[in-house]
Amino acid sequence: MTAVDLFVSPLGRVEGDLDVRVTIEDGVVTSAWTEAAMFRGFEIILQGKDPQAGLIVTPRICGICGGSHLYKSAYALDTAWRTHLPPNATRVRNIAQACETLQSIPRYFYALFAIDLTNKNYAKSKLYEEAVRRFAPYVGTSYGPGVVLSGKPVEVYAIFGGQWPHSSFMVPGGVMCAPTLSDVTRAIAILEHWKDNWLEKYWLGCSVDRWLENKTWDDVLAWVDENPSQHDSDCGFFIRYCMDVGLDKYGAGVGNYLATGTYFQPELYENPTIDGRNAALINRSGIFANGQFHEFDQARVREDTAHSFYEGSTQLHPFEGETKPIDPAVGRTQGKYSFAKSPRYDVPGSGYVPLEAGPLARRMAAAGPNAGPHQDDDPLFLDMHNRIGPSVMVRQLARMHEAPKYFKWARKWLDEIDLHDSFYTKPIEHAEGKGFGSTEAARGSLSDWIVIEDGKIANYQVVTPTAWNIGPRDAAENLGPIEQAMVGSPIVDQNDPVELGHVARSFDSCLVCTVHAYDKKGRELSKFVINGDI
Amino acid sequence: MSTASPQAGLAHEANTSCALLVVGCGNLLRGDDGVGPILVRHLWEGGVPGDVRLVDGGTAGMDVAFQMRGAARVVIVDACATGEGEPGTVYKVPGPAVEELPPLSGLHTHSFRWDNALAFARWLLKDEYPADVIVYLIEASDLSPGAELTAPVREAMRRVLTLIRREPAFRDASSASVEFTGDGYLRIDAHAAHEYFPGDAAVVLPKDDEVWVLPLRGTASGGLLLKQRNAAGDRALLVREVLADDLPVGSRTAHWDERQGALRISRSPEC
Repeated sequence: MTAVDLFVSPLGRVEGDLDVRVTIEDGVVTSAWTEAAMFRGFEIILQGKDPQAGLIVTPRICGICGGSHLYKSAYALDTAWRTHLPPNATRVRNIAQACETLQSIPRYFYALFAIDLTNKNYAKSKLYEEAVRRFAPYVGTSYGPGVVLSGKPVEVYAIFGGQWPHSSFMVPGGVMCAPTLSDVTRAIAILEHWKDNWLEKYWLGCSVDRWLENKTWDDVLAWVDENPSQHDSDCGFFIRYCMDVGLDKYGAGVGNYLATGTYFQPELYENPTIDGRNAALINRSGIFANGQFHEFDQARVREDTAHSFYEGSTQLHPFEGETKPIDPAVGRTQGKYSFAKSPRYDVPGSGYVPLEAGPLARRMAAAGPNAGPHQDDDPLFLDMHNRIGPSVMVRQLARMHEAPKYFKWARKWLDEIDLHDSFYTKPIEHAEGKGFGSTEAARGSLSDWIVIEDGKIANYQVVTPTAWNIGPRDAAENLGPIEQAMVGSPIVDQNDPVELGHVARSFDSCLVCTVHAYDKKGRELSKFVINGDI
Repeated sequence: MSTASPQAGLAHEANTSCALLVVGCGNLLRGDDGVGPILVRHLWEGGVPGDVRLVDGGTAGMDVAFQMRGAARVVIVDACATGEGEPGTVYKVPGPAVEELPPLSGLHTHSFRWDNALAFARWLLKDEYPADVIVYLIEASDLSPGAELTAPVREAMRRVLTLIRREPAFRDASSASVEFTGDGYLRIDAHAAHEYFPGDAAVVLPKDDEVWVLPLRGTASGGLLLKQRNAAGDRALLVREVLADDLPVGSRTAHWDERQGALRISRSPEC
């Protein structure tokens, strides 16, 4: 018997953020359990509060995607209160959401993901030295510009939102800002600078338009060899390196995807409703499961608690959702092992299945049938999915592919702002209502469900991309997407299972944006006490 | 719309220069962990000079490093949970004593904290790294979701607020324009009156070459009345009786002295 159980914390330096247990047989992962060890009771905080509390509370859930939290919590209220949204407000919200994601793309890639590419386990690759030269933290030739310039897009966010992160400038009925012509031109200049000096210069080695001409995996391979500039760009190198070290061979995941979509065509979403949402989206929503495309319908979402540290084993729609935590020690005796719930989706004909959220899910939805004239219609990743199958590499490329795409959209929306038109329509604050707001944070679909009764929040449920991906097994013992993605990973060195880190990090999950109190032990802080001096 | 207004006065641009940058870190949703952002909110509500930039750092971590560009001096405020001090203990720590590069294995942008940001900023900003970085840490007591600040931490926050308002960048701001009028009034602008004389009553003391104006809590115990003289809220108080024939007519720059608790006005114009 060569089965070995391994416990690792592949995602964070802090033990307990996310612990993963894997079983390894003959050097390959055969099963995995993801354990989120922290309870984060946002829903409980919100109950009984003013309906607008979600605008303040949910952006604090995460320091990386606070703008995405704000975006969807505003839409949850827009649908609940049946507001009117001036087209300008939709454009500014789109721009802000896009800029947060544009920031995240290089910051995540260089500061987080690419560091693993310099791991000594890859030293036998003939491209290893080049990987170290580019991606070594702080000193890599691409690390520097990539990380430094990642701060640029959120400067645009701050022009409209006052600050990033944790802004609350999106409100039901619009946005609280009155940009001037110089604000808009400054925003354009910042984005162009970012595009010229990182996206085209370092990442693509070509124009954004040239990259976006790629419609198939063959196109991408031809693009790599088209000229030295593309071949030696970070993107060209990344593809070659992945294929050399095998990152195109594992981390497939469940192969079933959910995107709730984001960005609205302003004229099609002046009166936001839950039912009218899909048709108004630019970055489309959609389910891809068992090889079939389906329309996304929020009514088909359930949160399963069979293996989560909550009372009972329930499968509730978020409007009826409960958050009743139990003592983990008690939970463990019932086979529960995580504070994450397991979101599941009722796929027509297949029942409740786990779905992967994230950039690859968005790219699959973008290849779905029946795109409207205003909607993203892009076959590239469906072709890659069908030709070479999902993997760590494909998931990464999906995320990076969004940089040129969102850049172009954000530029277009900036051009379309009509400075003489309104940015806000005062809403009627209905005492009763139900709302659904959703977006695509960089790492996947992020949604709020709100029930307002008697002018107060009766129920509020946030379903994050991390929950979709990191959730534990469900009542039917289906593995969660990251658990499934770990299965099949080769582990070269059990003392340094870098492969598990690749898989986990390729989902860019968020777990630790909670208590940030300074807690370094063993440091002599007492000599700095100043109580007596004041 | 009360939900949006607190943002408006906060930093608009990442790269503007300033004499002092105050960054409040922590999670508003986790009880005492929110003390940093709450302190920043208090500073913002009280008004800060143009040379002081406020940043609600929240839990963004790496972003703190980007915000430090252009700042001459940086003050970071965060909760701490050392478990060694009483709740509400305030530590004043020089930045270099606590800065620490994030570990490269298991690095995660979501777990990036300001101690990592300080070291990271040294790399990011190079020669532009602020000359002076200090960190106020407040020992937390309750970190449970949705909790309010506990009493000792609230009290510690007030002490840190006082310390921050004593920073040189604030002292310059604690100057106010006043005017002695020929008919014996001292005029104080609305901002200074609101800031230093909320009780609308004061004692006036001639002191060598200066005139000191000390606030009283209210009019019940006597003193001079600050009377509102226009819609903007500027105030005037009749100082003729106290200064008698020694009235230094004309405009003066007054300085708030936190230690003495007095608005100090030089009699001579050039000061």
